[in-house]
Amino acid sequence: MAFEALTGVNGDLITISWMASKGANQTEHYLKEEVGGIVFFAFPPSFSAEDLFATANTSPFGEIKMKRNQFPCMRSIGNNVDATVNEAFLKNLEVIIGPRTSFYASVQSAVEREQQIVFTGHSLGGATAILATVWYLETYFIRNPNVPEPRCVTFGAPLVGDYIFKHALGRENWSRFFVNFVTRFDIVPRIMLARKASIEKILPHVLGQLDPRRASIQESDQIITEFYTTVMRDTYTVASKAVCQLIGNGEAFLETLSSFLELSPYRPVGTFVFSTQKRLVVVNNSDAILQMLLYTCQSNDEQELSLIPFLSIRDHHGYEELVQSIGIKLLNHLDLHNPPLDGENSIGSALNDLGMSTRGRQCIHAALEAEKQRVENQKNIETKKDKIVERLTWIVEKYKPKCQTHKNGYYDSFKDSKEDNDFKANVTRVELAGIFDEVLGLVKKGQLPDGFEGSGGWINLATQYRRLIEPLDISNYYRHLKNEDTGPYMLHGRPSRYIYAQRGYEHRILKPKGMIAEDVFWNKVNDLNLGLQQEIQENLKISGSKCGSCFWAEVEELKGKPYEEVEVRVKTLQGMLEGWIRDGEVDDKEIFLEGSTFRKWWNTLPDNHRLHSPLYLRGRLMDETRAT
Amino acid sequence: MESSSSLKGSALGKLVVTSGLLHSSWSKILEIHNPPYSNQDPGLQVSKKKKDSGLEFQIHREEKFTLVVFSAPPICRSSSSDSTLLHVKDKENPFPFLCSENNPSFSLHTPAFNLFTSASTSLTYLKSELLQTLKSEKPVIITGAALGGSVASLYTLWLLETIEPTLKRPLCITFGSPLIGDASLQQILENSVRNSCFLHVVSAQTRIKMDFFKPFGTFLICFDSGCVCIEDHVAVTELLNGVHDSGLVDYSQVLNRLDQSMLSLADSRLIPEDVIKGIEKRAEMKNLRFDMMFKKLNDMKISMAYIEWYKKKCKEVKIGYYDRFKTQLAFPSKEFDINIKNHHKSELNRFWKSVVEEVERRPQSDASILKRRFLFSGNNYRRMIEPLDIAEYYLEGRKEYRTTGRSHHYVMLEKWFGMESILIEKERCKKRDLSDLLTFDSCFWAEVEDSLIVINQLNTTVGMRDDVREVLTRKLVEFEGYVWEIITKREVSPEIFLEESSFMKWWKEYKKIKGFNSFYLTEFMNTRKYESYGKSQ
Repeated sequence: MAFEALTGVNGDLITISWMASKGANQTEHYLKEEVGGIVFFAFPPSFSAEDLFATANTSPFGEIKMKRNQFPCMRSIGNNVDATVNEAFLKNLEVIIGPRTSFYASVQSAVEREQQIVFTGHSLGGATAILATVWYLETYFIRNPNVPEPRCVTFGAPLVGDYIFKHALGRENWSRFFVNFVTRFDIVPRIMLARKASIEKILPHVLGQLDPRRASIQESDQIITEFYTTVMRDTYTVASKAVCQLIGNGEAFLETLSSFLELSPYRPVGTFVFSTQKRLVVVNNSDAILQMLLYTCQSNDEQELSLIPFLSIRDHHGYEELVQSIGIKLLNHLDLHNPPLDGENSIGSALNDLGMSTRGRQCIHAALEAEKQRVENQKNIETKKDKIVERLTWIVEKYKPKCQTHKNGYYDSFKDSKEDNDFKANVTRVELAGIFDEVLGLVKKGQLPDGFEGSGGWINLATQYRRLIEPLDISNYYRHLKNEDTGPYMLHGRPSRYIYAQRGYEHRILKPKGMIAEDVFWNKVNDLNLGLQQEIQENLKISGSKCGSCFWAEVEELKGKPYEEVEVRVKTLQGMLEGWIRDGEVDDKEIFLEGSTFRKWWNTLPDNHRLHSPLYLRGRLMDETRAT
Repeated sequence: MESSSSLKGSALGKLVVTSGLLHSSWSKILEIHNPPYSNQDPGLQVSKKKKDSGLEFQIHREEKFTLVVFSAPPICRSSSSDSTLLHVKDKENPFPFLCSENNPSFSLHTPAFNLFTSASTSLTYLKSELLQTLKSEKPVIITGAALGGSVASLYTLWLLETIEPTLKRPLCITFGSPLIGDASLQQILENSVRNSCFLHVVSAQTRIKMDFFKPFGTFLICFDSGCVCIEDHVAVTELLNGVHDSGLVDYSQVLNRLDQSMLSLADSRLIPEDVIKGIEKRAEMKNLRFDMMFKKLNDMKISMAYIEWYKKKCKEVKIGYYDRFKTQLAFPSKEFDINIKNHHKSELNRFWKSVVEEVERRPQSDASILKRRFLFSGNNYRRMIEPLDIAEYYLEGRKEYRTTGRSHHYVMLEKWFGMESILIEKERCKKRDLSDLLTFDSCFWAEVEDSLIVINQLNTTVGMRDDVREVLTRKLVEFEGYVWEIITKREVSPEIFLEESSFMKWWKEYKKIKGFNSFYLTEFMNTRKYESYGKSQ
């Protein structure tokens, strides 16, 4: 069925999800249903204001950063920013996965039996379902390849997380697990776009109206109209700003203006299915969905326009009807292949049904075009891969072996820069820096598809590049004595392109363990038993021991200093070295060469240190120790 | 299909309208013109109305931002088109920092300027107060209607001098205000981030005379059925230029209509197609100019790497790269040399000329940011490449490069990048090994060449008059003094002492003419102390 192809879920699964969501109304925390081997976890909605905005939260949208050790994937890797989510929703999840409920054990047993899980919910229950899915992905899915893919089906759920939340799900290729149903005027998917301050006072009243257990709503409720207008005005601001950014060029005026605006950080994630009387419109593009949340509330009809506030409440309860109509309604997919501006095709009529104006279509078109541009940018980068590989191969196959015959390795050869090859390596270094800086610029500005940073091929290439070329950058830095002008390489000298590459690599290798690099590093340091933790942390604040490709920078910094002063750093470096050699971060054929800066420095260390060094004990540096 | 520029103008307009900033500003403007009785707003500060000028301002400290409102009396018709010329060197000019190399002066609207200067004492006080506010991360809006808005614009321009790039920029919102600056000011601001701090709200019915005063900043043009936001000043001129319309516009009504248009969401084309096309073309040109500059920086690094290598190779065969380049120019033989000249050197020159042009367009204080960014690379380039240009110059049989032959961009690079970096470098040179040093004075070789020419004159002119001979000899002595100074300061590359260098040629000839009458340099050269010059100490 076409619907399943577009959304990853079939009609039956949606029907069961809806039934379970409805059933969850009666429960306190969650409802579990098992149908045909699939386990459904449905979460109840809440209509109290503190479940929308956490009480003690002072941020303008009730938001909070996700904790990295609990949700290691929910961040932007290169830019190193954690995702932001609604605190009240997150707190609710924490209660559910906590010891007070049986939820954790139920999920555990489904995982053990390798059953597929569907998380679902209506209204705020849908927000819980989204976060529960993320929790499941982070806790089980990344660690065990046998764990089946989950599904998340929401009905009229509010937005949960920010741009980075959306970006992270896209990068991990998890967006496809989320399907959100929205009836045309439903206010709840739009609520989180409004400022807390502007809706706080009337929110309890409106939530009361949204609660199906309460009395039916009146068509001429002034508070509802006020609420609707407020939410839509803020939505308007958010959506207009988004369009300006999509088609803009980093204009300074937008930047100046933005410091006066308080804009909701929340963004749609996953697939959205908008429904009208005749049709279902499926959209995957988050930017386009944001525009639709605004422009589907338009109408040319004056009478309908005045009714919309009332409909915005009523539609929140239109999901039973929506679910029943899935097989009957026409289906349209809004993407670049079905451009919204062409009035002739069926998507044109679908957008007519949704009341979308020309301007609205242009905004959606701009969103789709922006994604197309991101894809183009990535293609453009892919074309440079061959050149990168060719340059790196030259370093590995020609430059390094040639230098090794001189017994000092390419790090030191580059530092002396006496041979033609050193010059060629320098040009190679600058050329590659140009390419990787260009990529870096695109990553920083979010002008690549979300998946780019997660793509294995690119991470591999960037890792190779970092391991091979960063030593040359360090060599260049200390050759020109830049440390005397601007301080140690690790403090101000390290180019971001390497920092980003390192983060990408660490994420890939640590993800299956559910760990983060920072913790892994300090665990290793603690295992070395070097003394007081706080002192050691202070000592290693700007140490090159945090990354293997910075090995030479650490050597350069340590080499002029008295041993007593830097003992902790020396020991950390040697403690890391075996691991780096094993992982391919450091080339043991290079660093132990007689003429290398490392070897020369090592020989100046006190006998006592060298004789007890693990490097000596493992026979890596035996010769000259014997000689002394 | 409508273009993205049109969409952008409309989306930006909607953003401005729905942000509520216009209403906040306008309500305070109404308040200053019709003060409510006994309103004791605790966050309100009122300035005393100056009896003679009539300029008044109020500060409102709101929760999210601080608002400063200016109010001025209605403009006197007879003086409405007077202008005041301000030059960068005028002592009375409060805006010297705005002047650029290309536009050292500009003119301001006299009535607004006079009101502004009449209140300079209280405005100075206000400035330091607002800076404190901005430092505490709270943004500032400066606003006013009609002439009050013009003064608000002037005040914002003035305030911007002291705002560092890390601080939030203030926003000046004017309502139906007369334009305040001429074409020069427009040109200056067009190349400055300051241009982004001005939002001028204008009703589409308004016509503004633009024969002398020109628009800058962003304009929100309000139609009955909607609004557009445009920064492109050519388009603004096209849309608003006309015979001045003195009819008063009630902006309360304009704003209300805008609010209505937001709700109804009717789409109508507000700007003619040809205006849009113009906007697009100009935006594209501007982007191209910028992209060029930053994308090329890496290519320039590669070219510099080639020339560095060239220098190294020359040194290996005991000839300075200056002299090698000179001989190769005369008798080109190797591809490497030809490439250096035709490709790398000319690319570098073109790039740096464009950087200098870019900097010259900007107001002084903006330019300094760009200068800082290019500080080291610009210095390096000048010291590395200018000697090669000098070689070409003298090979063509010309003389006196420093005064008559030097390209403008080198002069500017030296002027801009000189002061700051030399201080750092001086410290560094005291101890270091100088073998990679590039001579500080990039015109050093021109001085050598001019001295060689003088020597040649002395040697070949038959029957030279004594006074002429004395003048020429004095020139040589001056040069000797100059050389000795940069040697003792360790500011010259040791490469000048390579056996075959033009400098050594000069020394040999000079020795013949002067005998051993000179002081320090003689000992330094004769005892071969120069061989250890530049080794690390």
